[in-house]
Amino acid sequence: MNSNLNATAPHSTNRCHGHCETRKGHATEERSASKVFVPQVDIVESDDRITLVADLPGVDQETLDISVEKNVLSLRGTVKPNIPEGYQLAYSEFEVGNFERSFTISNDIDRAGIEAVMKDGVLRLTLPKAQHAMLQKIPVKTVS
Amino acid sequence: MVSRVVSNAVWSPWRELARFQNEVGRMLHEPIRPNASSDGPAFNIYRNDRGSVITAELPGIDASSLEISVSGDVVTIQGKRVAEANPETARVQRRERNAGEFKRTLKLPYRIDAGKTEAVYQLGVLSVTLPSVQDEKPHQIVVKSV
Repeated sequence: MNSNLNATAPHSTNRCHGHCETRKGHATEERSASKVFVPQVDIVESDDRITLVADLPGVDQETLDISVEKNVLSLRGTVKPNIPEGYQLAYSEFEVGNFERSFTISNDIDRAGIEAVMKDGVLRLTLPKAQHAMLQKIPVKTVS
Repeated sequence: MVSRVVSNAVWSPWRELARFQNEVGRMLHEPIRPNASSDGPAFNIYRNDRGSVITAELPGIDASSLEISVSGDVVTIQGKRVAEANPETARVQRRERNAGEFKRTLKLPYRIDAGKTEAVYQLGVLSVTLPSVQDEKPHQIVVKSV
């Protein structure tokens, strides 16, 4: 695959992270909060950058953790259970949980230039390509 | 248009069905996360004796495109998620997020107080509070003796 950014297999992130083992007697809400989901992403590559857009509903800039270690970019979003006060869950079609996903990035990405913007539960990551990785056009001079 | 009838009598079977779906999801090692599509967004419904709160994960939506209407015991939630605009030269490597219009109608087991209905959109999560009409006091009918 001729890509600078590869998503790892989703199932690799579908595992327990520390607090999955719930103690008995705890509320369902607390248990579901420790679930980890794989966020849905769009990845688009242009000549000078790669843009990654991820759906992270319930995550804000404070609860989002983005890290790059060697060639692995990791996203981790923590979601606070948002149960309306004084109400009880009566019917559920989705579970609330945290988000985690990692991606393999190539050496062509300029690590220092990575930018992240979070808005309305959507993360927009811009990964600029390093100068040497960009397609460079060499003008051909004609010699008369 | 998806319409689901929810009344007091069927609360528990719905819950059982959701639980079963979750079990199947766990068995397949793939969490089930329904998302905004033409079928409409996934809802969680919280209740108490004064009404209910519907929550839906709708990341990346312009709040002004969300339309919530209430009529009697029926609530309709509709909106639109605009697809990403990418330059023509860009190469899409992965497209998992979906975009487009959605609409979902839900019938609740009580008359909704439209005037007190509130909706909040925060961090891509929509919460709609739908109180029931409270002023339906039993009428005392005075029997006149002729």
